[in-house]
Amino acid sequence: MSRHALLGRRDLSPSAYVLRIERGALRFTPGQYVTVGAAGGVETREYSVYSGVDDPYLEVLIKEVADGSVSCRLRRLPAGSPLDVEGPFGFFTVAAEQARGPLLFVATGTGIAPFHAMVQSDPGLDYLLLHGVRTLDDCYESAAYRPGRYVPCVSRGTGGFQGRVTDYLRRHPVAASTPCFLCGNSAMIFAAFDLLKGQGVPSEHLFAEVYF
Amino acid sequence: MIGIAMTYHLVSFGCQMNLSDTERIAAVLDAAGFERTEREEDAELIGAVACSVRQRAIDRVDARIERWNAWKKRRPLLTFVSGCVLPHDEARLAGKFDFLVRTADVPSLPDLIRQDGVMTVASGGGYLGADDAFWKIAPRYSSPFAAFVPIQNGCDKFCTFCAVPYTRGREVSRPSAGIVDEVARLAAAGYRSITLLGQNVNSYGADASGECSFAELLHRVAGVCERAGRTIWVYFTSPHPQDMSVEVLQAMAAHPSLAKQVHLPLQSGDDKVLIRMNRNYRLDRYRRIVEQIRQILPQATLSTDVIVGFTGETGQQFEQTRRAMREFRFNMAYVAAYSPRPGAASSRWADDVPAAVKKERVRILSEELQRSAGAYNAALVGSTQPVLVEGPARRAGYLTGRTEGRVIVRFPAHAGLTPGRIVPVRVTGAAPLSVEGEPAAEPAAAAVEMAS
Repeated sequence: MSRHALLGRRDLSPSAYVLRIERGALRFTPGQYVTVGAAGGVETREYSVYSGVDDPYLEVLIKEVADGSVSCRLRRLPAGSPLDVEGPFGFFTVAAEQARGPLLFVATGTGIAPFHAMVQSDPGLDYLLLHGVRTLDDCYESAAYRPGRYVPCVSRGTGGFQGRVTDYLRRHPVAASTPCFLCGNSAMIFAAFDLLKGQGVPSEHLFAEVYF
Repeated sequence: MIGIAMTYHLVSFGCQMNLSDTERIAAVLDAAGFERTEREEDAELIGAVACSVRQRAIDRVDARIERWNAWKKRRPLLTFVSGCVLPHDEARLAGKFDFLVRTADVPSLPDLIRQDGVMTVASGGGYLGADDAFWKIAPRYSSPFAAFVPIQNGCDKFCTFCAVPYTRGREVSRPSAGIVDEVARLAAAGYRSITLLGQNVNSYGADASGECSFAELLHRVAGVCERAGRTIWVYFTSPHPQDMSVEVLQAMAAHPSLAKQVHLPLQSGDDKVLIRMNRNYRLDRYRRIVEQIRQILPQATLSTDVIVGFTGETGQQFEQTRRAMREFRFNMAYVAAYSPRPGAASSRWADDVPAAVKKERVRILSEELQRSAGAYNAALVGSTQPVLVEGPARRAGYLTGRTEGRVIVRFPAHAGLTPGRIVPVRVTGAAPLSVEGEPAAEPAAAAVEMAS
């Protein structure tokens, strides 16, 4: 565990925000996560890295949870506050051979964070990113993705693709050879997992990271 | 003031890693002139090597410290806690024990004890590192013929049900030279069973240590054992299916000293439960590894760990695990009903499978295990197996031991069948989780007993 200064906060919605943190010597592979907590505190939480590998800072995308002991506290910290950061961890990463072909990214909510890091780190990736959101207001920084690569799947509001990510997948079946990366709540992951398997995608091409 | 010849007693809770830690703590205390007692009532210093994997283990630590603190009203007594302790539990336990010792601080334990005769909470340097003095401690082994050798500490897998990454820290590979030296000493001392320990032994060397791969480590360890000129069985636990490689299985096949026994934790037979557990493999991957084991090591026995009633596990998902148990025909399975641990990620999810349902699922899988293990054991009847004698069985006049595949064998005690010897036993009967036999007299079988 190492100590890093909080550089600043960027609010993306009433409940979601990005923390920019002094990077120090931390190296990571896009898709990995770090644990973050207020310095000296007992509790930390796992957050996927949101920034790219070449960025001089580290960013994490956080959803403030009502009564959440870490997410609420982190949001209140002023710039300059010390944070305990540990990592990187995890295996939700794109292998070099996978990066050469088309990829499907499927996210709900802040589950978009690892994909943001992947795209920022390798702008040449051939990907389609489906992002399950309630309204277009939840499309965090969608300008970061190349035109036509980002599809907001809107479940309650107007605009974007009307329906859930699974509705989109039903209408647009995926080639069995496509590596599919799923990140977000377990209900979405389980539904997409079944659907993609049903479309012939073998389980070794299905990669998942559950957010909780 | 604490005297030099202080008596101490250690209580280990939990897994083999904790037993191994306990052996090193004992060695440090012995070297510093403390005297070990097996009776906690006689001890002036009591250490608890705690386990945070299950709530029950930490509850037992709490129960014991209550008793020890009650003794303090009648006599001088110092207590410490070490092992796997969650940050969440550290402050609470530090308030009950006289001091808390992190694994990395074990070498300085005597200094902490003698510090003005008053215990302080060891602030410590955090988690164990690759170069820590802890690894250089020559342990006081609890058995004269079977030893645990830690090769790694910590875990980077972050399974959602497990708190080990928060108690033991990041995965650190112990330097291979020290491992090989320790195994060589054990081989020279006549040890017959050596178990390489770690949370994910087959990711050995994958950290920043620059160490060799686990397969290469196995080759080196096996070479040392085989030069000893007697039968030694080397085991390892636990490997993670994500990191299991053909090279590891080929190493096992290449060396007679690498026991033909694989412990491969399944945890669940359902892909969605595996996803929620953050186990980075699917049933298909597990199945392929088992197929490779059957192909490369056809004589190997297979054991596993399974958790039932994990948060959100449906009846259908449990059925997948039951089917997997039937398919893989395990020789042993450690089936646990899920219990949330504070600090583990899944503790933030509802523990929503009723206790009675969990209990029933444990029973069902236990029956599956008995069926598969019983069939294997029945096939052993009539064969003669080398058996490591472990000690007296519960039944008077009988001994108990294990085959290379770790099948429990009970047989009549005969003169010369002393614990620590590997002797031929003819299997005469089978039960679901053990076999019975008679010491074999035929010369061919007796040849198995190599240079005892």
